[in-house]
Amino acid sequence: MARRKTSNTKWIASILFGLFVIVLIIIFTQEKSAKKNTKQIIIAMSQEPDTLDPLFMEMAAAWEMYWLYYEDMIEFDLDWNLIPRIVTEIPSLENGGVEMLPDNKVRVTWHLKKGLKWSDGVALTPQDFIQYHEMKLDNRLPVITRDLDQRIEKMEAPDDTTLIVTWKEPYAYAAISGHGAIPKHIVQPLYEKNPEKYHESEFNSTPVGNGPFKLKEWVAGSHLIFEPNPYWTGKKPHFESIIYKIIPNTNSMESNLLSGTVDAISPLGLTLDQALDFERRHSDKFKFHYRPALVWEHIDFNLDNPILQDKRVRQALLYAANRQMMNDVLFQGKQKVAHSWLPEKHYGYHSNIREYAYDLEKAEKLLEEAGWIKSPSGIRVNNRGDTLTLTIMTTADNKTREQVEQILQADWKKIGVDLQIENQPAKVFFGDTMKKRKFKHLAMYAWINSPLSDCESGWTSKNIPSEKNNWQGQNNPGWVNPTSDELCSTIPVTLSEAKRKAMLQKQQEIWAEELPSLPLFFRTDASITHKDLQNWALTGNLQPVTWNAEEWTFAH
Amino acid sequence: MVLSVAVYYALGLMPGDPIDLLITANPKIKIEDIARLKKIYGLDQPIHVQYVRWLKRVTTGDLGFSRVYKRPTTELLGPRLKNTFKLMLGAMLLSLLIAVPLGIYTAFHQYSKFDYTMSILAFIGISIPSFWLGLMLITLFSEKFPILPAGGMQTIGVHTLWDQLKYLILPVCSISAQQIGFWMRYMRSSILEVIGQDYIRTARAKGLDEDTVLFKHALRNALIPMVTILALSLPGIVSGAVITETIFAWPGMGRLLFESVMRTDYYVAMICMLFLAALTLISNFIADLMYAVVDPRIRS
Repeated sequence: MARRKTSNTKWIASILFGLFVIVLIIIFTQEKSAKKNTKQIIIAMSQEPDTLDPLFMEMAAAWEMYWLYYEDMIEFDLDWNLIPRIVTEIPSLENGGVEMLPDNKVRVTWHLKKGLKWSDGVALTPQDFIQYHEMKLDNRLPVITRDLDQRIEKMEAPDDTTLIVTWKEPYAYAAISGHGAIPKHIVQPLYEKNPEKYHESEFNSTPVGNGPFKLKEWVAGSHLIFEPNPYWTGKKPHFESIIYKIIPNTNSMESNLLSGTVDAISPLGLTLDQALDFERRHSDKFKFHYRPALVWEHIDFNLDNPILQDKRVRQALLYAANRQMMNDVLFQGKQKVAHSWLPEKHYGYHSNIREYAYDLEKAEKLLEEAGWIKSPSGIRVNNRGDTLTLTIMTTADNKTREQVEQILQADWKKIGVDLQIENQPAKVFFGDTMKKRKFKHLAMYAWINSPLSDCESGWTSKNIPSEKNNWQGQNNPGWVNPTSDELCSTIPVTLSEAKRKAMLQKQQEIWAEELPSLPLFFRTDASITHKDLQNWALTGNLQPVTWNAEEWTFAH
Repeated sequence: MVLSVAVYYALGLMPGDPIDLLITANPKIKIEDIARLKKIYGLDQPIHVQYVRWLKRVTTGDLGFSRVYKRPTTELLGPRLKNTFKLMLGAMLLSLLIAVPLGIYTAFHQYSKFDYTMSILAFIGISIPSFWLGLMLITLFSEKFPILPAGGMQTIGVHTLWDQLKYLILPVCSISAQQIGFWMRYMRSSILEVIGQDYIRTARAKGLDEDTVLFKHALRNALIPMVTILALSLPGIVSGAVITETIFAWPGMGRLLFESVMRTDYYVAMICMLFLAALTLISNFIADLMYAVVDPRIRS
């Protein structure tokens, strides 16, 4: 017995000693890493880029990286004004950069700044833009969007700094879209060796760009490191390295921030409600950044449904949706209520269209006019005995959308509308239900606008997805309005911004009256950073936060 | 072969063609773009044609190219396997180191206070959801008492063994909590079953000291089922733990498999699943062999 006790004591002593050694090791190593490097910033991001080859980029995470190692011809400033970056000026009819040709073609002349180089030291020339354009049009490459390049008749390079682009027909965005470039000296050999397999080349993960930084290391699933590009001709970056750490779980991301492991959470890391929740708990420890953005949250009405074909029903539903309360409760008033499909900062925004402030009386009156009478159960019925029961669908597991649905359910019950919720996984919802317009009554989701968005793909009858057009287009409500068709088809071929603006505003007036969709909010971008981080500025216009990364610094 | 057909068809049954999903995300995509992309990726063909193409490619040693990660499948798989192996092996070794002695001790002190305490702790360990435990460990050791990193595999730019060990501690503890409980309970019941046998009574009756009875007679026999279970756990060492890997930002196989299935990355998902299926078969085979090695009755 005594022998067993001695043996037990030995066991316990060994375990305690082991634990003591582990704690010592941890403390020793922690001491070393505790010193903060102010020349480096570590940013947490939930997504990992798919590729860093600009030809095939589609993910937002990839575009956030792109702005570190690439510099475009033009960019938007914080007020969404276009400014030249690697070109001397933005071509226009006024400065002669845009010319109308006799055969209804348009010629745009771009002048590159002198001395531009790729991050390997080779000169950047107009030939790099032509290479990019030609590869985009190659059917063997899985380039996703080619709309812009297909409108171009030819690109020419008369000298080392001039790029002349001839457009097949007038295109509204010919001089304000800019063009991509790719280092021809690196890419051409890879491309010519095997065009079918070019998209599998190492350029996906070892790109060469012309931006303020260059990629130093990319460990898949873990992190990406960028360091200053020695050949960049712009302002010297403050940081010697920018590290993106991939952290898929948002709770872990917050813990990383709290423990000082990361200095910032990318706008692609947390949703607005998560950032607001974090701010409630740790408002004094970090800097919180919010910026109204372009993503339009809305609910599409399926206009093939007889109930929703009546405009009065659609208007009543909007009157009875307390969107301001949703904004106050769910987003602390930080998410702007939408009255149209265009945000306030878009050049075509209309501030005087019909608005539908929360008004239950108006809603009930409209429903009565439409023939929906309240039954003893509180749910409205029409003279055929149909009950006013609607079904709403959205992406399952999206907490915010589910909360909006619940508020709508309660709001609309007050006016005698029974709302049933049928959510689906995002893959099914977008891949099948929305694609084939299979939603019965209502579908909640978001549109990603750009500062140059127009209404062609969303609000023209030719863009109603159907089997006939192979489910092409974004007019998911199935809205048919000849005036909107006319306006929206004319806008993309109108060069004058003033004329485009007038047409967009006219279209919004009709839209707000007809309400093919129920506008909810314009999302607000959110990000959290270390208190001392300076010049971290969200744009809200699809241009990622990295747009001015060379100016980021820690206040000393 | 049969397995690969089943897995390929199961993936094909998933809703939402990856290319079709692009239409809703990008209004500028045209019908001809969709057709072109489907052709390039071979998604325009019926599922059996796609399978045959994939099989031909695999038999030539080409495991394919990830449509999502834009890298060859082999390039993706190698580092992920290594990372998961480190994590899961670490967790298994730690679990066994703690669970086996505890299991033996509690079995020999059945119904003692220590046995009760350990049993309760084991059940708690088995019952705690790993995501919750992971987050609690991060909160405690990275936020409240910041002595361990909250996630990742190493401090960027630091390539020391200590640094890597430091990053392993929390995820390993998170996984081990469950495993320790499981292994301890298994070891305990295995020993209890053995010490009730006649040959243990005989050993004691002939005057052998308790340690000899314990280590020479009881333990060796109790380890037989343990060894088998251990062999069957081998696939787990490379399949990873999706939740723990996600919470601790550990780039392992679990996350890769989950993400490739969710994003319909056929080539990666297929290879991951087939690899795991093959490993399960091999493990079963090893378990059978081990059983024969440790138990002379099987050999005879």
